[in-house]
Amino acid sequence: MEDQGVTPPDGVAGTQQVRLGRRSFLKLGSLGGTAAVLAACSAPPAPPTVVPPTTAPAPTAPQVPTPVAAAEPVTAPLVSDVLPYPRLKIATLSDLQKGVFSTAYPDQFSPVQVLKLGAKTVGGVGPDEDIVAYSGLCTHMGCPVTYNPATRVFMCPCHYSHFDAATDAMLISGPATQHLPRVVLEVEGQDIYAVGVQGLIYGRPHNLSLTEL
Amino acid sequence: MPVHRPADRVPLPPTTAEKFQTVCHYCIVGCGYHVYKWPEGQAGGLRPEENALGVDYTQPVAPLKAGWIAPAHHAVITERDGRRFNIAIVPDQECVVNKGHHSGRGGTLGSSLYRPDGPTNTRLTHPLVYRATDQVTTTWDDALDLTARVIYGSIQRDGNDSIFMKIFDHGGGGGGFENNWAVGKFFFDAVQTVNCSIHNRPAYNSEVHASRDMGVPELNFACVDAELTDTMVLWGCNSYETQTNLYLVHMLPNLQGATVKDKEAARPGELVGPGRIIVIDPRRTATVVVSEQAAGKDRVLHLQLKPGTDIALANALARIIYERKWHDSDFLANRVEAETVQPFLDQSLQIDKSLDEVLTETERITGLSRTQLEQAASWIAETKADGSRPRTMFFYEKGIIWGLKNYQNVGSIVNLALLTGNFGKPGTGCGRLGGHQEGYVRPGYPGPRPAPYIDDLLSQGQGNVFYVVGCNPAVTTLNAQRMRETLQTRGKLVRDALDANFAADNSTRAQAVLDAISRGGLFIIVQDIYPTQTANVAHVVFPAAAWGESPITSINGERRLRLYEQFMDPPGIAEPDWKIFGMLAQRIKALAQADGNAELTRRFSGFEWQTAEEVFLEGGESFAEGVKASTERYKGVDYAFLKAAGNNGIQTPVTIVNGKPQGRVRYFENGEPFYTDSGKAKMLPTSWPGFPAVLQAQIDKYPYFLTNGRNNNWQTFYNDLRIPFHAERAPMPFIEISPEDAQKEGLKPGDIVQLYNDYGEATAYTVVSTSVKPGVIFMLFAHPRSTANSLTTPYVDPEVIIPYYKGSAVGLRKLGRLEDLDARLTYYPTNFETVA
Ligand code: SF4
Ligand code: FES
Repeated sequence: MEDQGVTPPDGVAGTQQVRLGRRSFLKLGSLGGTAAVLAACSAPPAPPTVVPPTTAPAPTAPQVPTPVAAAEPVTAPLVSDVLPYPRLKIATLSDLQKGVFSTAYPDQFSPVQVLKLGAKTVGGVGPDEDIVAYSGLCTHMGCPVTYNPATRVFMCPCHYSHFDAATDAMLISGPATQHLPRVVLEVEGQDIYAVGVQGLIYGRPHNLSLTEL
Repeated sequence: MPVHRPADRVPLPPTTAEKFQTVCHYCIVGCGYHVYKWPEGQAGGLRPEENALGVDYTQPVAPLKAGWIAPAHHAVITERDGRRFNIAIVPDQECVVNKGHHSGRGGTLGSSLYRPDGPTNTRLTHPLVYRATDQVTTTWDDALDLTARVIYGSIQRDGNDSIFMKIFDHGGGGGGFENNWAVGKFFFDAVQTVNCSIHNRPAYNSEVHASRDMGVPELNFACVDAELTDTMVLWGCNSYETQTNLYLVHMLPNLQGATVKDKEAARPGELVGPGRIIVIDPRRTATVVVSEQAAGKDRVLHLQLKPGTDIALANALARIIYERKWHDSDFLANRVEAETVQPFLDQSLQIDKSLDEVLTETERITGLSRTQLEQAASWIAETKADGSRPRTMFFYEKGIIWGLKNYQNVGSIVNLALLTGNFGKPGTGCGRLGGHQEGYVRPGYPGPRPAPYIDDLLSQGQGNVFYVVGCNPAVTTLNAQRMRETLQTRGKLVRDALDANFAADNSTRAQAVLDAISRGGLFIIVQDIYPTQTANVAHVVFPAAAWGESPITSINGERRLRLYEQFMDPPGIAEPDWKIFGMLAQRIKALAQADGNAELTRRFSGFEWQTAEEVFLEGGESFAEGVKASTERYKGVDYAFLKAAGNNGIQTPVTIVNGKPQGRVRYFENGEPFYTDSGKAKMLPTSWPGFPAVLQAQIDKYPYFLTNGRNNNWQTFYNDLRIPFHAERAPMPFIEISPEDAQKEGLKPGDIVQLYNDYGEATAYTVVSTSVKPGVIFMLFAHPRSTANSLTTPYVDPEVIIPYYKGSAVGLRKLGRLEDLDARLTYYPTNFETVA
């Protein structure tokens, strides 16, 4: 199979500057602990980089915590709470002339691929109800997926999980355990807004854990 | 939205979370995992010192770094007393088997846990007894009492062999040394019946008798050998999908050249480079496609042979190697029984014919070209530029084991490994890749070899009691439609008797059952974790504990023995299998005592186990010493040792050296003898047999050759149909059909078709794929919604009673579409190659 892959630029949104406003962290804080959410504001994390699978983690020191005084577990709410997703402009209709546009949401560390599938699809937006967006990080171990507009298939170069964009980014086969998270879209005139994410983006305990506060 | 997506968050385990060690219970690879357990409503923080994983969640977890909790790793469970806990099951980075990786199966272990408020709440929680028109919930005492009376009465009246069974013999979920020992002690020491069969086949036998007869225990290599070898031969195994982390963590890096340094260290002075792979499969599987993508086509050779022609291919490869003098003559002279070589040369290599004659015949039988045969032989055995021999590993699994025909299929591959001397060094070996894990320890089976073909006997009206544990023959046995008919018609006679005696006590009811058996009835007992298709026709159903609900021990494909800790309660009043057999034996013993039957009292004694470890240790005592010791030998090891050994455990067979248990990486190092009386291996004469008459009749009658295999999912989908992520991906079985045949039949992707032949029928949806050649249809195996095994013939290899599951022939009929699937099911083939 010849995948004419489209790789998101270095895991960040190209020239798109994603800026999230200060949000109430009460709901977030209640999940990861207030201190933890505040901690997310500190040193900006490095953008994800693609590591070829052959350099996959060599056995390293145990990941068990060193015996420090146990932090008090915090009380978490039931998962029915809604995360306060920002409403962000992530693309315009004209960005989609090639069928795919790379951006990021809900923060710069979460690459997102916006697709114009060419055929009406469930939940599709835009004049043809065919515009959808998915997380660009493989749900297996987080490598950025590439997209082939000809086959409408996402492929992960690390362990070859494949996802079918035409059926809601369902896993075709591979070691992933979640279909690609879907970014919920709205269209206003020429502008495409992201308003939420269904499913959990790789590498975080909740989708807004890295959101600038 | 059409496709299921989990919540957008998971709680992190706090530093106070309890931590358990365990191993994924699914496939043979046996990946290490950690289980974290903490009360619902609590969560750890993002900083590494605030969560039990020690992971810094203030940054995104880097790709390929273990430590992220995927939603499918997590569940909120409810214990028997109603307390609720978070559970997170995450791959162990320190485990040398998986190095922090998970597959689609192991990655959904969290989703598979019993939750009374989730889709797994269909678990069996209480004993069921068929009373009047239905199975009703009852007590252990009641269900055990009726069962004990029927078994005792049946043995008394019609003898030990009137009890038939079909039960797991493996490790991992639903098995393990503890449960296997209990099964063996119950059926071989106490019941003493020969009418036994193993979960996936109609008799009590090995799937690799040939290898063992040749002196080669089948699990003779280690995962690390796949990193150190030059050429991997994958014969009838689709490891990317079915032994996933062996492929992804060990084979793939070798193909990509990432293990060259390790090769240089392990094989000093030898010319080494990136590995090559030969995949022998009638189907262009995901393993072929992924290997080509990862290594480039010039280091991948796919031999897409005609189904069922493996022996002819193996013989031809051996002939080329012998002709070119690429064989290991020192090894043959020193390590192989000389008198077995000539029959091998005569029959397998057809040494009396010219090479040209043999290759012409092989091209005709296998459909492969001479160039492909020559290339494969060269990759397997041609001396390298520095004069050293290449190291080659031969892996085989169900394509061979369930191929035509089992004994010579396996033997012909072991022949190749012996001919090329590929044993006893890093990067060599020849064995099955495996499906389940292993964990066999039992008293000796009292029956003959070949063992009785019990499916046949049952369908002929023999057997009084059919005890089925941890398997689902209504779906998975060969000629499964016949099995279902047998269970339904013979089971109905017993149901009628129980209907007529709904108000009676167990003594009366048991007598009524025995009377119904005299009229051709069959009393069916099922012990399982879910209400399977077989359980649905049972008269008694015992609820068993699953993985994580009771401690077990097992070995993986490289014989790595680990302790799988218990971390939650079984649902309802379910119990581990060993305990159920213990309770049943004690009940039968009580009946025998009351009856003054000294012999049965003695046979059903010794089942008063209190803990899993007691059973483990009792089984361990049964292992023989010395060269005949079995692969699983673990005598001298206890739970405390295994707990300390963690997820890297110890590789069996275990010997005690200076008072300490010692394992081994691979077999036959430093001149270790082969497992024969002479200490030398035996070659096996193997000739390609052609198709048996029953199959040829189907081939002559129906247009398509039917083969089958697995995908990412586990076995009969017993868990996967309760895991939304898997269930929606595989709502029913699919077929793969070539674009040419699809066009001929007017089939589009997603069309629903019925396949049929003289033995049965099955219904599936259509995937159009270049994975199969025209004239061949592939069907997903063992899906309970419609099983490919309804279409297999009753043919077994008569030498060992192993079915030819992989081959049948069918007609095809289009049934239209299930329109709702179109929006929420991908019709792309699992080898990813889209058809324009
Ligand atoms: S490869 Fe096998 S053992 Fe490992 S996680 Fe997957 S199913 Fe489990
Ligand atoms: S990171 Fe493993 S398949 Fe994508």
